[in-house]
Amino acid sequence: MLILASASPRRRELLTRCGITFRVHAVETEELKNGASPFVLLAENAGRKANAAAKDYPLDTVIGADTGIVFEGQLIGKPIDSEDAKRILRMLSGRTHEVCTAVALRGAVQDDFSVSTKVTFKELSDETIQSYLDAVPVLDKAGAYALQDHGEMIIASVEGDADNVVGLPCRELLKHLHQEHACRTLFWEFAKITTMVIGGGYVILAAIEAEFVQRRKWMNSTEFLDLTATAQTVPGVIACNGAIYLGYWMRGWRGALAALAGTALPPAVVIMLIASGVAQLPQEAPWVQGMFMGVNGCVAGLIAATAWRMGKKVLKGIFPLLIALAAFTGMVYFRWNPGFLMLGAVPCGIIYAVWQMRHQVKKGEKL
Amino acid sequence: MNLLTLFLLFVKYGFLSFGGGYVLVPMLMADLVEQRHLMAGEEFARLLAVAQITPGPIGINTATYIGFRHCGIMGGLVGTAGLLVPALVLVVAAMYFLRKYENTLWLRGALQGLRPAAFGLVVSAAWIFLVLAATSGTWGTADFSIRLLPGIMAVAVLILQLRTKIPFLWLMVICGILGAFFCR
Repeated sequence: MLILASASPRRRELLTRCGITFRVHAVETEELKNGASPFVLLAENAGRKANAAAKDYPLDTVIGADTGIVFEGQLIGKPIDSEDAKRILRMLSGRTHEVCTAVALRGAVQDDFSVSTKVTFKELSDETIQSYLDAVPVLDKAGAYALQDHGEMIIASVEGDADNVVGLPCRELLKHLHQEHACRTLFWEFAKITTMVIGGGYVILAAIEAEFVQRRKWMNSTEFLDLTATAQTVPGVIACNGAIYLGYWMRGWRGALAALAGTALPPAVVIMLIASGVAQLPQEAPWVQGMFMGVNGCVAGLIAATAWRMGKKVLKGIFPLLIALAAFTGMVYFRWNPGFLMLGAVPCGIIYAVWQMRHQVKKGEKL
Repeated sequence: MNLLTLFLLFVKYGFLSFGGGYVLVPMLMADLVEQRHLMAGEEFARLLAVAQITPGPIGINTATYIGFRHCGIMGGLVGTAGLLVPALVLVVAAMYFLRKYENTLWLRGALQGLRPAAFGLVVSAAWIFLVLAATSGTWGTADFSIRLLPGIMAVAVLILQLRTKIPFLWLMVICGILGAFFCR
């Protein structure tokens, strides 16, 4: 069981959204306010919270976290009153600051890390500040604002994990939580997938999406897009490229090797058994043919589901639609090599990006 | 052929198998059968038949088979490893470059092209599997026919995958069993 050593309802909500079951056990601890650099303070406070809760739950994994706003090397705390809130917002107006969350894991998994997200404010007029303060109660919020409460009124851009600004860097946290068993999981999941599936490549990409993106949430869907793009562009067996990418992403070289062994070993063993004559192929039996048809139908649906979710991320505007259509036609109708199709997309993308930039510059000039 | 030659041979194929394991098949055919005469054409045909109906990516199956035939169990493992070593290096290098240059115009542009292309290829893979499962014969000829059940399974799996959290391996087992009984 996971224990969240924080009373914050926002953190609870974020963790629930990650699909994790956990219990909340927040112990009052004394927080350090000054005496060291902001990042050290945050790490120390996160550690204190986690340690206090870990005393009550020694066999579980405890998550302690502390979020702070760092501006010009200073930690910005909660405002004292509404005048102070106005002062803080005026100070941050038009500038970039860092939101840093330090996370301490104690108990079964022990780890410390921190994640920073850069937030840039709009130029705020006094009226905007006033209407923001009227709309949102800020006295309990560090930096006198909250991304999730009308953040669009004051924030120009967020660079990095937005969850981190709300209070917990979910993506990074999941990576660290799963680290303990990551290699074993990678090996067995890939071994299961590869044994069930006949005819590699895209099925395994879809299986990675279903298992590791949708179910385990080790990756988000944009990162998965880069995985598929890389797996199909780089020379090599597509399924194995996908496995290497995910494994390395989770656990570095060890993860890559674990995922790769899971993908390659079971089929290698089966092939050797067949080649040596130990196992026979019952290929002509009608029930085997029927089983393949059923599995292929299932695989078509599985890949279609992955494609559906990828499409929602990718198809924004005419250009991606045209590229996707070209790739589809090239593969299905002309039977071109997918590797060359991917390579062909690179100059198209670069030309489009340059054109887009020029276009924006021109628009800017007109204004 | 000793183990080292075998390994190096498959390292070469690993670098050349641009576009996935399927590309490997015609390349091996040209190289191993026609040029080097390491395999008879008949044996290669048998290898393809085996590779296509056994689990796992075709590239792996082919490498293991050839390695095993020439140098036994170690050969099977070494051949497979040889095929994968280049991918291991190249994928990790690609990840490094993606991370390092993520904010440059040319890489963002390249990804803008690569992502939709990757999506298009995944869609076509779904299409190819659907055609494979739900039709028989060639389109436009008299022996073309549609098999209803695999098509229904595909749609059902699509909906279940989008709406529920049922692990896909279960769905695959269920579809396999249903297929074995009803798709004859």
